Amino acid sequence: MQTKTEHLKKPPAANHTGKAALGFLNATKTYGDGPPALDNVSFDLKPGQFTVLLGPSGSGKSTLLRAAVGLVGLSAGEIRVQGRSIAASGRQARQCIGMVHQDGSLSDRLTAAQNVLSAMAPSMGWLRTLFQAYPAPLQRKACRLLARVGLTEDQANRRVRELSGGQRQRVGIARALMNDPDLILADEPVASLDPATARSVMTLLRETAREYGATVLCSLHQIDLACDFADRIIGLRAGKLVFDGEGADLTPRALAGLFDQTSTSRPFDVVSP
Amino acid sequence: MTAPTSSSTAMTGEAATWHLKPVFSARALFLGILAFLLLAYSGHRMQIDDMVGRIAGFALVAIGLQDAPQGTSNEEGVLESMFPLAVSERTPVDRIADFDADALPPFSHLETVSVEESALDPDTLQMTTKTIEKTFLVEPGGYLLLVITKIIETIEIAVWASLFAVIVSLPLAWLSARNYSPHRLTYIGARAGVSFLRAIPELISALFLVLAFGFGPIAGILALALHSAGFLAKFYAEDIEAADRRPQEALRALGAGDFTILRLAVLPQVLPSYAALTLYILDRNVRMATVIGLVGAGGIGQELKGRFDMFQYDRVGTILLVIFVTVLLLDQLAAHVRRKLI
Repeated sequence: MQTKTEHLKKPPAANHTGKAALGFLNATKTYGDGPPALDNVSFDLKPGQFTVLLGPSGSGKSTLLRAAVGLVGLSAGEIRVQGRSIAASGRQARQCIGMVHQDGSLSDRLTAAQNVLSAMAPSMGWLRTLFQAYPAPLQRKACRLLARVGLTEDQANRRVRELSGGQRQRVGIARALMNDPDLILADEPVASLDPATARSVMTLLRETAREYGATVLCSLHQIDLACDFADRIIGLRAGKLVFDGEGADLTPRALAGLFDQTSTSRPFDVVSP
Repeated sequence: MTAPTSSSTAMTGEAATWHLKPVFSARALFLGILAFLLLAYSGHRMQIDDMVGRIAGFALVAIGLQDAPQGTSNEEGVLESMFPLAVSERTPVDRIADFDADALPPFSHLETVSVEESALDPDTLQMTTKTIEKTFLVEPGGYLLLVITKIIETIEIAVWASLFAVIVSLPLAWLSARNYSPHRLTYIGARAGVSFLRAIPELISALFLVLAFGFGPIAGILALALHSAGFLAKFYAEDIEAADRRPQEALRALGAGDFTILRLAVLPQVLPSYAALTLYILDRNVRMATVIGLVGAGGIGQELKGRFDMFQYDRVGTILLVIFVTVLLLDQLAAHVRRKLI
């Protein structure tokens, strides 16, 4: 049902329609006296697209994603979710966002199913939260989601710490889908996985997002994964937007601009000969 | 695998001139000497030299290398009079109210002994000795049974105190965890309250609580609960502060409030530690409950103090043995539960 929308090579920074799933306008963030983690970043996500945020460690990818869900406050600029500023609408805006985090964001000692269901806790009463008494329809939905991401009933009832890294990220994806998000943010979802598992988790993320009609913004530092999965790639370096285009546009020169080999932050831990 | 490049050779050449940090700095050495001198000075004031000499003396007497000094062996006297331990209870029948010889308590029997009693004859005003028959009710395990009832009462005091401590310290821990306290003032207030609770020793608060609530378990339960609540709240709060932030942020990103995050992302993480702390507090409260009984706050301590003051060291010995066995068993139980939980 989802058709690929046309790619915008260079979106005009000022053209914010308000219909974009997620829009950043002059987003700037500085921590203390340090250099800005985000420096005037402006772009809009087009509905239904799978956009990858590519850049080396410390380029501001995490800050950008965390700002979008209100975990980090911007120093200047604005973030809009479906036309509404998240600073103003706060919780309402967040409820249409699902987020897949890096490994370690699940509650280790809760089961996979309890973790998926925890996404619904913010909209439940405190007594239900205290006893983790989720309504039956939600429980059925969590089971369906866990089955969709490839877990068995036995694994759904296991504590998350007993699952493998790949299985945990699958649980993370199921949790992100639990509140029927229009927008999925993924912060380095495959950073701790081996290449084959990373690829299968990325495939799952892309497929489920398409099934749910969700727009995706996923940060990565792996160039090959970005090229293979992204409809659009946004390159960040030292907090600045330095690239916006398709994987095919990622020329060696563009890559060099993105991952400057002389700087201390390097894209891969390559053992140089 | 490949030959080192010229730049790496230059780097290793440079490394030959590196200086590694010495394990002990001159400063550490100086502080060590200073600490030694301070301890030497304080040791004399605290009669440590005397203590060492006397303990060595006891040891020499014990292995028979030295004769026991005369008249100073009251430690030994107490020890000797503790054995044999008192297990049975003998009560003169005439001191039992409404005594019924046909309905004796289970496992008990009557024993009649002749006792010679000297008394002043009121007519002749002379001391006369007459033999009278005295009947005793002998309960073979009677005293042990009493001590066990008392130790169960002590454990009950400890369990209730620990339960109240947990209930009070959970909200206190929330308020005194830096990252979850709703306001800086509540944080400071809660921290101060927690420190205050922890700062008052149980024995002192029990003294005052006995004045307020009278002799008995209420004073004991409250004294222990207040102190342990201070202890638990401090360590619960520190666990909350040290908990992994990533699961908490994941829920925060979904718009969850503090309660939801604490329940679903923090509590599962800290639960094993909470269980271990609570078990420690239970174990400690059983031991402390015996101590605060000394000031009349119920339990075995009250019995111990009474017998000690009456110089009935055989009974004191029984009490001490029962306390020791209880603490030992409790420790085993706690270790078992801890293994299951973690």
